[in-house]
Amino acid sequence: MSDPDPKQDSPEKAPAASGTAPESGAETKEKKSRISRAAHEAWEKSFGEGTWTENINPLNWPKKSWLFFKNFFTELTEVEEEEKDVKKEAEKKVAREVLKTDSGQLSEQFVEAATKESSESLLPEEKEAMEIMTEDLLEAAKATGEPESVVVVADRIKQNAEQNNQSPERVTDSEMRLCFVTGLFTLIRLKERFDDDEGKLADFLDRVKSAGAKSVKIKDLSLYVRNHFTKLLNFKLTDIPDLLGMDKTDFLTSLNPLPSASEKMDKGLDIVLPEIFPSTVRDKGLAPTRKIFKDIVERKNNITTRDIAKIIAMLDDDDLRELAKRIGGNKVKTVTLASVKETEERKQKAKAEAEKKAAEKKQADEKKDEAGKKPAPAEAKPDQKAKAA
Amino acid sequence: MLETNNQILDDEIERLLETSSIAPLLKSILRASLYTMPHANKLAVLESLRKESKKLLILKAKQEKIIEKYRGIMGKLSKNGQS
Repeated sequence: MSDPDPKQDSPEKAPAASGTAPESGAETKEKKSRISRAAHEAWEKSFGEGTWTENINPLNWPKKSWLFFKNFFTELTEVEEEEKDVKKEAEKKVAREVLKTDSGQLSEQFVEAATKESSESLLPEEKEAMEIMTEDLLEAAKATGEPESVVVVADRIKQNAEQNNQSPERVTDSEMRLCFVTGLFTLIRLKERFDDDEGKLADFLDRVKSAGAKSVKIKDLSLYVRNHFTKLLNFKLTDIPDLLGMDKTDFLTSLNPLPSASEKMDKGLDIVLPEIFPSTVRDKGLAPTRKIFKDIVERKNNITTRDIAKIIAMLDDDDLRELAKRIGGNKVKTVTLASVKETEERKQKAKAEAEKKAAEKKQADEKKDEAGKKPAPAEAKPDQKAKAA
Repeated sequence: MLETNNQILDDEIERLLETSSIAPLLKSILRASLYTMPHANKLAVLESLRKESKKLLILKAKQEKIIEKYRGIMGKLSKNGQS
């Protein structure tokens, strides 16, 4: 970093420094106003609010003096870039240790979402849905004695959503995605908790009843979780065979334990779907409800029911396998593996296409080289000129 | 003894997290993971945070220096503008 030399930035040298085509009056005016605004902001950022006066405005200085200002920003920006690198490096190292510690409960995707920044904003309705969803996650996490990390993260998302109403800070895509992944982990852990302790299942069912459910027919919790999991993804269990091109009876018999395939098809499957609960439970359930999730996803990305299955593909293969292992059911496992398969096929297809294009390019380059080596084109040039004439 | 050491480590990590530039959500996750984190991993986290803190201090000083350098020049320039 060298000290700026006033002589170096003398007015005489300025046109060469800009080196661009002459600007129109309007363009110059706009540019000046932009510089002025940027200078004002940057000055107050560096020297404190209220210290800016029009005398400082580089546009009021002798013509080229504001180049000093430019130098100043350039040097500051360099430092800011270095700061970003330091931040990134620290995040990477800390995330690595956190992942090692949490024995796979936190995925890389999860941590990545926690550190990624996005400027894209959500609609007010989405923010509202997000708050409700986070509220649900928090409730679910607290009620089932979730590991603190999930509660903390969900709480943080909630805080961000609340701040949103007062500040320009926005709930980002990455946070929404984080919320989704948190939701998945919450459901997985919910199942684990109940698997470990049948008493908790009884408590849970009591809570559901006292919350106003007309009847609870759940005999097998894994079914509850599977149903709830599919609710989260916004499709019914009955949609899954269709989604995967499977025979419905085969699919239903793979669910365990249920009385009979036909009975399941008639009424058993939707045991925890909205109609069984009054609206209060439906809209403020223990986990993200179908309605809320649908609101968020559809408004955000215009995603159809089927596309939601693809969200699963956002998780990497290890996560998907872990998910399948934790959920346990044959069906979800199949969904997971199908997603993996689909992702792999897509990757392979893209790879094959890239290779094909590369081969074609290589061939074209070789042809060009060969053509370049032949003396004939040089001789043919006058002919071509004549033709052109 | 190990518990005391762990407590010291936790406190030191917490202190460094206050000024760390890492994403808030990652901070939350790290804080929540601390109580289950093995000693060796905590040491690695501490080392990373210390390095980060040191580098940030250097960069902060660099920034101050730039501001200081230009403050004088700008003062002169604004006077020129006024005249």
